[in-house]
Amino acid sequence: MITPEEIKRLFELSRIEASADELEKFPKELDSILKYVEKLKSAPLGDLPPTLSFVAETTEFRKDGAYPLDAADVEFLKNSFPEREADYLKTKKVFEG
Amino acid sequence: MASRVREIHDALVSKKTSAREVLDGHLSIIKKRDLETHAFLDVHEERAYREAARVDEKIARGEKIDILAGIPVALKDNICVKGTRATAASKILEDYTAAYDAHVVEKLRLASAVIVGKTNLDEFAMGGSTENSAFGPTKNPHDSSRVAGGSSGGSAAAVASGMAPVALGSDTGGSIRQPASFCGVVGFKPSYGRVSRSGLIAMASSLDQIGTFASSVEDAEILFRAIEGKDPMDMTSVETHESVSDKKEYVIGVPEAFLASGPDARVLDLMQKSFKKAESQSASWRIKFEKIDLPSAPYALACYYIIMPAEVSSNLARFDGMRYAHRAKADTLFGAYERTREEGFGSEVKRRIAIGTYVLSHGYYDAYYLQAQRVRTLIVSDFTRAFEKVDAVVFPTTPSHAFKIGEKSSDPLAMYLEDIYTIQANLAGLPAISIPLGKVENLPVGIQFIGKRFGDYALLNFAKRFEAALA
Repeated sequence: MITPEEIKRLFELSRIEASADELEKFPKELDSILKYVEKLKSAPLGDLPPTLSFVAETTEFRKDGAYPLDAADVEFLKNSFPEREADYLKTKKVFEG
Repeated sequence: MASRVREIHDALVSKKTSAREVLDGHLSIIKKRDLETHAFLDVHEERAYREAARVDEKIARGEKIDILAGIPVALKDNICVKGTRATAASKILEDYTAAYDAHVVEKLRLASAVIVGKTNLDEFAMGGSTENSAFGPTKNPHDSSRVAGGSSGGSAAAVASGMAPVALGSDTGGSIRQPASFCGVVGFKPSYGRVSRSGLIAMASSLDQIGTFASSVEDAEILFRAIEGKDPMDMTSVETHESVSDKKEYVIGVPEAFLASGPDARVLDLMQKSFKKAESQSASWRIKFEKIDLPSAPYALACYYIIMPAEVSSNLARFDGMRYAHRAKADTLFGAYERTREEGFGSEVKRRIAIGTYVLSHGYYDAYYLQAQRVRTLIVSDFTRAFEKVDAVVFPTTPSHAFKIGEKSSDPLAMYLEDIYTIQANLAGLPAISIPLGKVENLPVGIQFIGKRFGDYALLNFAKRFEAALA
């Protein structure tokens, strides 16, 4: 059984403030989902390896480097900041105390 | 008004109509019907008229135009169009304006297609009904008390009601095929890697794929042809050189054991009738149905509901309210993250982030996540084995017809079971298409064919023939 405390911890790890409604509903809902996925334990896996993705072995990485943007695009991105001071993105202090 | 891409194209080239008139016609249907249907979140009327005018100028100058030139295309609102809103139907992105064009949008521009607007979806493409949209559900054009399906419900409803001849959606576990089935249109999910995901707001990156909606297989293929191909901005996209030959005989695998326990008997009955009809038609080609085994098929849904939330919880970490979109007021940085995400995300998104965080936690990783990835290998190998004998595998698209709005919204697991026939193709990276099959209680249902990896055109070719046999 998932407890409300565990849900609270999962929300903390996910950086989401937990609402009273979710703390009440989620333990039961997550339990029923986790119970459903238990069926995977009976799959006849032998020594099969995991499939993590379908990235081709020949995949090339883009060259690492600086790709300059148009000045207009840079301004557009800066205008998208929720808070801005001059050319800087403004946030609360990263290091507290 | 013509509704097929080739008919519209011919009318444009022969100057029987103009791109402006084509757009007028579709916008007037949107104005008439979309207050009720709610297929669109934004209609780009002004931009679309500018794009149409450029096509009309080209035609006036006597230039050769692409098959998609002047064709209105609707885009699911998780696909970025530079300078316009891209909300993914989430409050957290309500005021977000895309800074660049998705690769598929660049391709559509090259073809001079007219982007008519952005369609509704379940928030971040998480859901099977479009009820999880922060901006209200899309209604089924065949019965407004029912869901359009999801997550690409808006795109499916737009095509079904003639608001756009074709549309793009995204499909992570069935999000193109399931709404196509519910709305009575064709929905095509290409092979993983066939269409660039650059500019698609990510949900579960090893499963997400952009695909097409249309009222015929031919139109779904025309739109796919325009958007497919390798893109340096998506390292999982590949260059393919698929050559398709006309076959004399198609062998289709029917996973009888898996189907016996599943769908609505009326759907199975329609499928059986369609097999008989396809087998008995007289053309230069034949279709044969053969029983196959997919022993891992019953594990697919459980496998999906571990892998997908794990990827969701990682992908959605980027929405922290720092660099763009909504930021909540708080006294500390962590407080700002937590409140922004609390206010911005809906319940289903939080539920999946919580499950993903759980299955990736220390101590659970091997039991859940790694186990699911190994089951994924099993599913892939089941299909590989089946394709040694058959050209495609047939499934229903959905267990039944469109359900009532609200019917499943309080039971997450019941909603997840909607994906039971569609997730196999995503887990194995295979192309899959839903074609209208018939009606149950006067509502459309689809039939699904799953093809070989990178055999997208071969699957589409078969689908065209099956579609013709049913007509």
